[in-house]
Amino acid sequence: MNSFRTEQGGRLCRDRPLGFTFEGRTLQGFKGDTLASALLANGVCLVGRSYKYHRPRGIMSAGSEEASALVGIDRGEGRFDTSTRATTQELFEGLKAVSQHCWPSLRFDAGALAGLGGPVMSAGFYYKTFMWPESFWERVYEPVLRKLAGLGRAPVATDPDIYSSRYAHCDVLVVGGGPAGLTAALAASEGGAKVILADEQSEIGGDLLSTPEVQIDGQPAWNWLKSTAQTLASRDNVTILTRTTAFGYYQQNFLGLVERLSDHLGAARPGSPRERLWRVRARRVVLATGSIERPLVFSGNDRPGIMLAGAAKTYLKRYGVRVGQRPVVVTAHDSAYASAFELAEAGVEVRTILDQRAHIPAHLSKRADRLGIEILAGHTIARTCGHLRVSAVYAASFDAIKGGRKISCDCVLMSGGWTPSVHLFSQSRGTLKWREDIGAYVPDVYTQNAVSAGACDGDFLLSEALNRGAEAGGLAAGATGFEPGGQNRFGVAGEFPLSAASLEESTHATAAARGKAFVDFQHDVTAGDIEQAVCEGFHSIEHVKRYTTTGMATDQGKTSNLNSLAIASEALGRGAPEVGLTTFRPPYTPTSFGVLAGHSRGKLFEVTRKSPIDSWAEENGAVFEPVGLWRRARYFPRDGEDMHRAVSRECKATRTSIGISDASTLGKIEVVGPDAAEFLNRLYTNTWTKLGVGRCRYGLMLGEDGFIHDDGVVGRLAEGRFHVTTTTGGAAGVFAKMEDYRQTEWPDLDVWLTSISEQWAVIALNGPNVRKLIAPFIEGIDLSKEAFPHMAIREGKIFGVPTRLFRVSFTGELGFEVNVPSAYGLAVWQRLMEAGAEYDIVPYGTEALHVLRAEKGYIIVGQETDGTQTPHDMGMDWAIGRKKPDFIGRRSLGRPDMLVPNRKQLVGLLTTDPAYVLEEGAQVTAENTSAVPARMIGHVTSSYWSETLQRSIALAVVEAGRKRIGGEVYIPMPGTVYPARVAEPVFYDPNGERLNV
Amino acid sequence: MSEPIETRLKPFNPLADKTLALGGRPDLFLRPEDECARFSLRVPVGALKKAAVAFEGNIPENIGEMSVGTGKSALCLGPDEWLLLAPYRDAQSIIVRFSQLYETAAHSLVDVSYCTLGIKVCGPRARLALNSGCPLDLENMPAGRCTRTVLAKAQIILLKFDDQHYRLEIARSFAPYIWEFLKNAGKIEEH
Repeated sequence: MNSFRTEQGGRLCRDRPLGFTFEGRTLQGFKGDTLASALLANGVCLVGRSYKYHRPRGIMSAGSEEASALVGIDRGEGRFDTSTRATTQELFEGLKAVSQHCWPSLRFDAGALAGLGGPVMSAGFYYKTFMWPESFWERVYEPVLRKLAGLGRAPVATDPDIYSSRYAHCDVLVVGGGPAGLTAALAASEGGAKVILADEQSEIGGDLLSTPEVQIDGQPAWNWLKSTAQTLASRDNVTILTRTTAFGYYQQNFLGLVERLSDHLGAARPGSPRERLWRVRARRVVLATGSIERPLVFSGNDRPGIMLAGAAKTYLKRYGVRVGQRPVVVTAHDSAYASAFELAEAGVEVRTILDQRAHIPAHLSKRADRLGIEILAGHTIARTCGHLRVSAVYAASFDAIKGGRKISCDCVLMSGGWTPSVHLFSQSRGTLKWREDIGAYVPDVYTQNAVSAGACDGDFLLSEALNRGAEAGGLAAGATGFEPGGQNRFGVAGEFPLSAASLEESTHATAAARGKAFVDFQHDVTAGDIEQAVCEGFHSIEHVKRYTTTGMATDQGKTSNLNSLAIASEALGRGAPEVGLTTFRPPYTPTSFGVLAGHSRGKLFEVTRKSPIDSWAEENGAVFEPVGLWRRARYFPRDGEDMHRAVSRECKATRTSIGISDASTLGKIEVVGPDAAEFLNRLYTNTWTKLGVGRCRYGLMLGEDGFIHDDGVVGRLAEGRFHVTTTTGGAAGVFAKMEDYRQTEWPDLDVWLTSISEQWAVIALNGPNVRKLIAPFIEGIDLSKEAFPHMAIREGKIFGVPTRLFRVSFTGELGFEVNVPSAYGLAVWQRLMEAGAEYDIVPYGTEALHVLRAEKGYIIVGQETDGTQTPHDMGMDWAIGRKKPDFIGRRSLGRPDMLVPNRKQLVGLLTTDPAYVLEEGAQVTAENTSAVPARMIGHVTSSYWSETLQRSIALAVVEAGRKRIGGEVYIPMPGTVYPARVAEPVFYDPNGERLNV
Repeated sequence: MSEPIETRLKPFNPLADKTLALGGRPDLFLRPEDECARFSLRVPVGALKKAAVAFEGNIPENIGEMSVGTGKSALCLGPDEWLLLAPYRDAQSIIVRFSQLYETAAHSLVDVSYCTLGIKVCGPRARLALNSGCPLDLENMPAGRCTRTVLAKAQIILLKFDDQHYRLEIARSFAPYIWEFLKNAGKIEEH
């Protein structure tokens, strides 16, 4: 193929070539490649532009920690994914990838000029640079920055994919399918425990996929891996999830996993999901999440061709790719030598290893000698050259960092040691401890039922990982009540030995670093930025992070956090543990919105609760409005009426003959027991003990703060049985509040609550002809004024259907509320509509309801009240049982602030111009002025055109409002000030004569 | 009042006439349960034996237990809370006997016949479809148990008869949503 692809080896299917395009260029790779390995095999080194400075960037890693090689993947209409890591995207036939952050083209980028501006874009630049003039932000700075920053391209088309979602339970969840995870899963499942093993890669194996040269128990690693995978797959109690990322670790061993089902194939098969969200509750968790190699921080460490040393080995061993022909290695850690030696043995001309350490272990220098590799101890890279690919480095010792010897190369392999991946452990609220010998944090105290094993616990050797994993798995089985497995020890031969580097040694380079020495490659944060932040007084790592944005990109600082910490701690002259570590938060890697939404889209986006009569309303052209999760008919337009005309007609019909309305969505609670009346006494402001059986009362419920919380009519069905109604929106909250008080405050009361909201359909009939309408169909109830007065409840039948018939009114007209079992609501409604034709019955919606009740000055909780109104403010002192020893909120009503005379009180407003309908929410002033500022003394809460009164009406809360009745207030609106007369809040039939007929 | 209502009026059920069968066996089968009378019973455990006499059926004592008889079933949902299911024809006599019991043992019996609708969920894919939105470990939930729980965005009561046979009780206004959810989940989990 070419000199980058090896002739053999790796885990590729070399008989399965795959064609793909990058930036429109057609290229070829193999099944088993990632996009990154296929690009490298084609000699493509330049993959994208950086976020802030638009610098050319290549591939820096071989895994999910990639911070540089972010591309857009186009799978067709609606299937464009932005900022996908080329290192995790598996190759498929026809894959289309494009670079991002570049304009006009990848090779020539105008934004790179920003790099010339250097200091302009330094740490905290957006706090400083674009602050003035203020008006420039919206019109100039933001649009330009957005264009330049170009955080990838957001998709605009609807996502056509479907996503699965599943809850699962297991005894042991093993996160990570590397050596430790594999032996943990083996040991955990041996005795029959239900085990889930999740790994983010396309196949299990982890680091073993890059180390075929070692022997495990006398077998080549890949043979051992194959037989282990087979053993696990053959166990019914084991579920292996590949391409599955555990992205979040929540309370009580609850973890979120995303399984990618089709991204490696292109599009999903029709009907099948693209991704699956697993919400797993595990009795015990084994974290085997491995470690991530740290970059070194030197000037120009971001040029394409500079990558992590371990990644180069992975590309060679797993993907059959030589990342370059003439690499230079720079390291502070032994493991880079493994990469150097393997590449050299594969025929790559490795000339020089720059080791930042002064002392090189003898076995390494001997082997290097044999391979003809020069080692420069105590050296690092002073700077690099090359435009779109690194072409040379300057090797220098720390005391002569300005100069150095030029070494030409086509790639640089770097290693600053390894960082245990403690992200999930940290999310589980476990605490970390600093390990000086590896220069990193490792798990310390667990707060959940979990254990870590292998590299994520600081054990980097394969033999350690295998045995610690087996131990952890065995213990997990034992801890969940199964026979503990994992007694055998694994023997490893041919492993590259490690002597750990300390962090201190690698920071020499960072202290010396000048120019563009990158720490966070995705957010373009340099060592200089961190030092500058410290200089400017940011001494906590959390503040340094926010000021410089280091570690805040989508990679969450997987490769940068410890380097940032090291630089900050050096600049502060304090040890790393004192400077701390930023908090890890889910998700571990970017997670699609689609999979989080799961089923909740389209018809299932949200529940729409419909009343039993909803279908009639829909067939009859109702316009609906949402009320909580319910939808309610707002008005019923006829013959092209607009809302105003429809509502006027509905109101008029109700006042003159009959209006019918669906009130089924009201909350209903049946309160039963010998202490039911006492319970209501304590809950509501009103007195209930004296309410006769068969009578109703309007009840007002306060919070402990004394403010109105809910209201509703309560009917007494029997000595110990009440039918309580609540507002539609307040139903669930009121029920929960009642149950709370019942169980925790007054467990001594013999009373029980049952929600009956959905048991009863409620048809509200209002108007002078209502009694005449229903009389022929009612059985067992005397409807006469004397026998069935206003505010009463009776049980009987209507059209043969059992009913709880309330005589109540929220309109001021003669009113009945027909409660029937909800299955019969629709049929009874239809019968009433038929029978009502004689009286020109008119269905009305919530809008007319609001007008009718406002004409009577009846409040709506949540409209006239906003959680700061007392009964007195609303003119409802009559609802307070003065003689009661206590009720919820009673004490608060006596607080001095509740008694001041200038509290806002409910009043009516009548505009001087009767045709003008005020805006709800408009402010009220005492002075006739539109000058700003003016003192606001209240606001309009409800405002309508009243067809009945042929003028506008409004309710408002106004300071000392009742004293102002008869006076004038002003409502300033843009361009005009509207004067209005303050009036009693009852506009129509103030003596209630229409009710008592 | 839960006697079969003698009227020419037609009861309305938003799930009426619906069935769903996915896959060959079928793998997931949904159908509305037959209508029945339902009562919410709240009673101190001390009076439970008397309540069982009034019900003329077994009432289990421990949370999560259910007693399924011919026609009458009783589900223990809380420390003092039961859901009673009975044929409509028995409803009036149950009401009368409990009102007599009230004289000697305070309790609350409330007719909730029309609050919920029942859905039968069965088939080899039933558990997977339910676990698409229900966080409980249904696999390890013993057969013959019941519980109040959630399914997607709705509260439900779930009865497990065996691994491939469940009954859900869902508030009426949530029932069409749950039906749609299970249909969707059943289709997706086919893959």
